Amino acid sequence: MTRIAQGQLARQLLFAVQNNYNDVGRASRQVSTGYKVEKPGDSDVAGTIQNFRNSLQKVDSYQQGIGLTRSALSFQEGIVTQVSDMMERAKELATQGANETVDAATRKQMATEIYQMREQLVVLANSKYQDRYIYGQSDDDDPPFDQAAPAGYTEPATGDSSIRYVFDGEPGTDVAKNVNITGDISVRTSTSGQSVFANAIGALETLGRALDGYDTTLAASAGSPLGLPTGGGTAYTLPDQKSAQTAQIQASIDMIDYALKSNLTPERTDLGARQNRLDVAQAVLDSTKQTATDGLNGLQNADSATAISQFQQAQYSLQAAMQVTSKVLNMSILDYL
Amino acid sequence: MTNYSAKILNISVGALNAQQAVIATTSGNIANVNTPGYARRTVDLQTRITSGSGSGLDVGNGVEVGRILRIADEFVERQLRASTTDLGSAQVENQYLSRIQDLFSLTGDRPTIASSLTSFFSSLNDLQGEPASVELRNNVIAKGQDLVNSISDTYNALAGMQDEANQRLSTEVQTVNSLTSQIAGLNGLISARESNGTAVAGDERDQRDQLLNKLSEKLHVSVVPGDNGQVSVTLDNGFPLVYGTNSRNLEVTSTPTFAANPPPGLSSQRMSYIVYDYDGTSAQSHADLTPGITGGTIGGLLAIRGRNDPSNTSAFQADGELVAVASRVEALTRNLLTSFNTQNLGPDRSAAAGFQASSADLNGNPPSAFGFFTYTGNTGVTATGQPSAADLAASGVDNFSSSLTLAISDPRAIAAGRDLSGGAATAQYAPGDGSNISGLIGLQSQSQTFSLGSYSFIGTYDAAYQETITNVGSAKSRADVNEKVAASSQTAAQTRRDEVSGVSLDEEFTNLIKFQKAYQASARMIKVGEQLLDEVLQLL
Repeated sequence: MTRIAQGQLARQLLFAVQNNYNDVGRASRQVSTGYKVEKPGDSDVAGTIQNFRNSLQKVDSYQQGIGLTRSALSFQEGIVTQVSDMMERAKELATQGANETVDAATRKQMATEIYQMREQLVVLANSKYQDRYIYGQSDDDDPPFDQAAPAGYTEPATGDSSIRYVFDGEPGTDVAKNVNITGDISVRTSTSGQSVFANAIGALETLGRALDGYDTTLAASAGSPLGLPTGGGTAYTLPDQKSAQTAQIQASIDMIDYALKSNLTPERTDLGARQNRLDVAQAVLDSTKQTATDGLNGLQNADSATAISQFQQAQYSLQAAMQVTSKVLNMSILDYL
Repeated sequence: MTNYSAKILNISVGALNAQQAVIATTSGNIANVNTPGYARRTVDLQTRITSGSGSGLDVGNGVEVGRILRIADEFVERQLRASTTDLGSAQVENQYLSRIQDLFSLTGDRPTIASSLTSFFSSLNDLQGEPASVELRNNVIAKGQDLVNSISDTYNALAGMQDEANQRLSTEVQTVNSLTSQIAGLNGLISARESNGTAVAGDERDQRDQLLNKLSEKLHVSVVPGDNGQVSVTLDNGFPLVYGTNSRNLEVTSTPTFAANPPPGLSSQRMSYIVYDYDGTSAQSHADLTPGITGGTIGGLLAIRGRNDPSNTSAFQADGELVAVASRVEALTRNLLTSFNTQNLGPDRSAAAGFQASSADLNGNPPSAFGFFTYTGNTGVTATGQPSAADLAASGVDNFSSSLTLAISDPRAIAAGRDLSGGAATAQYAPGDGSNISGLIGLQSQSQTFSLGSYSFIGTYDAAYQETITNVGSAKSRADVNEKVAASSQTAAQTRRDEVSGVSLDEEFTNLIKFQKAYQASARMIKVGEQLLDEVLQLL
C-alpha cells in the first residue's frame, strides 16, 4: 500500500487544478479571439499560415492596382473612341471636299471645321488623368503635343493654317509606364501619344491646309507611308492648281485611313486586350484570395462550435477537479477523534 | 532475589519517558507538516538492557528509545533534484521563447517584419503606376519607415533579451554562491553533531536537502555523500562548488582574463562568462566554467542567450535560440542593405568602384550617397553594395539592424527613374519614369541569399521570414513539451519523496492516540506499583 502524506495530496490536486485552468484559459482564448493559432509556437505550419497572410495582403494591393489600371485604361479607351469617331467625320468631310465641283470658298469653310476638329483632337491627346498627361508616358508633367515653336508652317504667316502641332516627347524620355498586377506580371498603362495621335493630327493638318489652299511637305519618315508634315509647303495658285489641291485632299483621306487602320484601331484592340489581361489577373487573384482564406480558416481560425465545446469540456474538468480538491483536502481524522 | 515492586516502578518510569519521546516526535512531525524539505522522524523503540540484571527468570527491563530516525531516501532525493534541474531550465527557456514568438505574431494584432515588408513592396507597386506622385512617394517613405522600425524593434527586442539574460545570470550566480556557502556551513554543523556515530543532525539535514534542491533549480550539480555526513557538490565538468566545509564563489564577467577580446553580444554589451577566479587577489586568473554548466535556470539562460567561444569574433557565432533568431533578422537587414541599395543605383549602374548610379530622383539627381537604407556609421555606398566590413568594424557594434534607418526623408529623392540619355554627358530623366521602381519591386520575387553565422538560406524575403517563424515556432513547441514533461516528472518525484518522507497527519494522530494510551497505561502501572508497596508497608 502506498503511503499518502498530506503535502503529497495537496500538490497532486493543485497540479491537476492548474492543468485544467490552463486548458480553460486556452479554450476561452480561442473562443474570444477566434484564432486557434496566434503565435508561431501554436502550430507546426506557422510558415504556411504566414504565407497565406502575405498572399492576402499582396492580393489586396494588386487588386487595388488592377482597379486603378482598369479605370486608366477605360479612360484611354474613351479618348481613342472619340478620336476615331472624329476621324470618321473628318473623312466624310474630306470626301465631300475632294469633289471637284466644290469651290475654293466652300473648301475654306470646310477647313475651319477641320481645324476645330484638330483643336479638339489635340485637347484629347493632351488629356490629364489623375493630374498627369497620360499620353506623355513618363514625360507626363507637360502636354505631349505643343504648337511648334518658334514658327509653324512657312506659309501662311498667321491663322489656323500656320499652326503646327508636334509631339513634345524629348528623345529617349518616351518610356512606357507599367503596373505589376501579380507577382511578376506587369501591364503597360500608357501609350506614346506619338504612336497614337501623330498621324491623325498630321492628316487633319494636311487636310485643313489643302482645303484652305496650302500645300504641305510631308516627310515619309514617321512610319506612315505618306509621312508627317514638316512645316514646309506653299499656297496653291487657284484655280490653276485646283487638281493638285484635290489630289492633296485625296491624299489626306489616305492619311486619315492610315491613322484609323494603323494607329487608332490597333490601340483600341490593344486597350481591350490589356483590359482582358486585367480580368484574367483579377480572376487569378480572386482564386488566390479564396485559397488563402480557406487555408487560414483551416489552419489558423478557430471553428467556433469546436472551440466552444472544447471550452465547456475544459470547464467541466476544472469544476470536477476543484470539487474533488475541496472534498479531499477537507477530510481529516480530527473530525472523528 | 529480585525486588519486583521496585522493578515495576522502574520499568514504568522508563516507559513513560519512552512514550513521551514518541509523543514529542509526533508533535514535531505535526508542527512541520508543511515545512519544505522536512523529512518525518520516527522513534526506534527497543527493549532495555541493563547490566547485571538478575539471574534466572527475567521479567525484562522495560523499554527505551533506541534512536530517532529521519526517514529519507538518498535516491529519491537525487531524483527530485534531477527533475528540479530539468524543470528550472525548461521553464526559463519557455519563458524566453514565449517572448520571442510574441515578436512574430500571426494574427496581425501588431505590425511584424512580414507585414511591413509586404506593405513596403505594395507601396512601391503603387508608386510604379504613378512615379511622379509625391503623395505615393510619401507613402513609400512612410512604409519604408515602418519596415526599418519593425526590423530594428524586433532586433532590439532580441538584443534586449540577451542583455537581460546576462543580468539574470549575475543574480542567479550570486544566489548559487549564497546557497553553496550555506551548504558548506551546514556540512560543518552536521559533521560536528554526528561525530559520536549515533546522533542524527536531522534539522540540519532537512535544511541542507532543501538548499541542495534550491541549488539544483539553478544548475545541474552532482551531490556525493562523504564522510561525517558531509556532502560534496560538483558541476558536470567536475569543478567542486562545495567540498567539506568550503565553498567556491563563481563570478560573472564580460572581461575574463582568458580572452583578450571576447566576442561582442547582440547589443553593444559584450558576452559574459561564468568564471572562477583562481588567483583571488587583485591580479585575476579566471577559469571558464560556462561550457561546464548545464540545466537549471542558469543552464536554461545560457541555452537561450547562447554560448560563444571566447576566441570567436562575431556575436552571431554563438549558439542559442536568441542568437539564431537575431542572425535571421540581421541577415535580412544586410540583404536589404546590399540588394536593395545596389538595385537602387539603377538598372545600368556601373560596377566599378566609386559607383556611377544610373537611376534618378524626381529632380533628376542620382540617389543618396548612403543608399535607400542606411545605418549609423555609413560611409557611403560601395559598388558591390553594402554593408562594408570597415563600417561594421568602426561602428563598435556587431550589427546594422539596431540602427537601420532610411537614407532619404524627402519624397522627391526616391530614385524611381533612370538616366535616359544613354550615357551622354548631360543626364536626362523623365519625371513619370518608374523603370527603376520595377527593378526594386522585382527583388520581392527574386531569390536572395541570406547568410550569417550558422544561418544560411536561399529564397525570397517572404520565404526567409517563413523559415524564421517556423524555426521560432518549433523551438517554442519543443519548449512547451519539455516544460510539461519536466513539470510532471518533478511533481512525480516530489510525490515519491512525500511518499517516503512526508508527514501524514492521519498516521501521526493514530500514533498519538496509541502512545497516549500507552503513556496512560504506564502511569497506571506506577499506581499499581505504589499500591503493592503500600500493601507491604501496611504490614509493618
